[in-house]
Amino acid sequence: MRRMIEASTKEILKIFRDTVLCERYTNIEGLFQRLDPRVKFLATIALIITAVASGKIIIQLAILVLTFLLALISRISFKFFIVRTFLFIPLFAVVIALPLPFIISGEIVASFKINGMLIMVSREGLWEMLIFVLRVWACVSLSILLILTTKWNSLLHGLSKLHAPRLLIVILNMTYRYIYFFTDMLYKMLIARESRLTGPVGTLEAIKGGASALGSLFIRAYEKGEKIYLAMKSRGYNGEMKTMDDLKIHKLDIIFSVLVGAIIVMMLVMQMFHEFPFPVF
Amino acid sequence: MRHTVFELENITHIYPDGTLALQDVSLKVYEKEKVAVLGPNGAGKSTLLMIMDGLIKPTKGTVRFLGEEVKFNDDKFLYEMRKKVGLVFQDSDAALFSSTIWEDVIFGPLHMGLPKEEVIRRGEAALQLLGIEHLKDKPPFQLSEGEKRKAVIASVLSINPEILLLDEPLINLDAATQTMIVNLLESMHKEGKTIVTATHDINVVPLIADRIIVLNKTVIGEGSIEEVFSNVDLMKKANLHPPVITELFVKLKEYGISEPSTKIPLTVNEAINYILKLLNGTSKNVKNGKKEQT
Repeated sequence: MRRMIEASTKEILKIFRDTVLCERYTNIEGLFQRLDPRVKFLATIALIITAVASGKIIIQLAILVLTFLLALISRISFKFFIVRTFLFIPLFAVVIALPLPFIISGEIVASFKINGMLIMVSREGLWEMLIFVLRVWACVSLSILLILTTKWNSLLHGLSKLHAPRLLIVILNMTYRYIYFFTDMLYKMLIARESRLTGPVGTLEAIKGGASALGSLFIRAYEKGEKIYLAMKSRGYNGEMKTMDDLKIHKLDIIFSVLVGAIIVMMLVMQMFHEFPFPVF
Repeated sequence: MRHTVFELENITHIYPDGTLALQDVSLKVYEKEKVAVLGPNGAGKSTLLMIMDGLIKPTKGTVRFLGEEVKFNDDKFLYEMRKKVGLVFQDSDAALFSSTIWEDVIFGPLHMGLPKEEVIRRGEAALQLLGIEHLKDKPPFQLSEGEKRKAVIASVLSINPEILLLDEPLINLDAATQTMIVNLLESMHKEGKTIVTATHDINVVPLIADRIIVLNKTVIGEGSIEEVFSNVDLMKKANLHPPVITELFVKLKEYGISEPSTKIPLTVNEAINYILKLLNGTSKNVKNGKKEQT
């Protein structure tokens, strides 16, 4: 288990470093890459709001399918995208949603006894759990699609054109820079630790080592963070992120916005008027 | 008369954790000079450079830039100052904060508000100057230490500053990269730039400076390279050893083997000339390891 966690941590960091931080997919000629960052951002937010507001599985599934289609048209490998997006689901959503079938009352579909205590699983609870996981998956996929296909600087430039508060942009910018170093530093620390291991390490020892490494990482990240900010300031950064992109709304942006808008309206109409066979569904 | 670029008066800086970085530092940097701030680790060299770049407000004292007092709380003043002053950070990982080298190199010109064409021209020129055009689209963490250092220098040179502040620019670099950067700094100096280099590496000082300011929390001495290197007490006070060549010839002078009036050699080439002069009274100039009859 410990080995698996260590290997996964290293792998996640490597993937994050080599794909997201490298902005590998931003230079590929795909649909999402060609869109104006403002359009992409607003469309993503609109779809996320729709997913969050809807309690129907079909809507969540529709948004998921749409996101995967957009990823495909944006020339992101299907395998890559599904693995990256699903990675967070078992980690967070499933764990959080796991108690739902046991605590939501409704039609009992299964029951069992643990130490004399009767545990019941309800159908409504299972549906709620499924909706929650799909909702998180849809929102995470949309966010990952936006991040994978947009240069961070362009996104911030777009946000500033949308009159997002300057403080928010500064915070987002600094967070991104720090995540970069945080990830890189943690990855290097794990590699350095591995290179000095000459035998198996006990779980307790590994936990102690991990805690100490984490402490050291925070101190180093803090110091580095300060230096990054000073380095940016010394080269003229004043809180406003400038890029080479001249933001212009093209025909493609208008068509995309209209299409997304129409899809969202369609979903809302379906949600309001369509009678689904199952009350939750 | 030489104009003063920087004038620091009684600068003291204490970090929030109570660490005393600098105490009563007073110094001057003149235009178009090559000066080295020499001192051991923890002497306050990096802090000094950051104060000179307006990044840190000193706890006490005043800094004058081109005769005007630096207003540490006036962003407009600082932005204008930083168009003329470029700081090359020692920590390349912190200085390369963008996702690609190109974005890092154009960051400065872009934030100076230059037109797009000029930003591209400057970025490309800086990459070409450092010979790193092929690294343009690479993310910083994929680069070697030498490549990172070149990228950091390129990202500062693209601003085209009149004054270059360099924090340990040659540390941890291979000989070829060191030579390349030394030659680059020399050509920048010939173009009329003022170059201030903070270093603890005494062997590189003769290559990058004409004057030395010895710092160990406070200025403990300054002068020409020969004056500083031959001052044994000063070197001891600064926890530094003079370069082996210099040390050898100072000893020879003490033993009366060399002419007392002759300038002590600071580099290998100067030492060869010196020895040749001692041996047969002939004078040959040795430049870059090649001899030429004079």
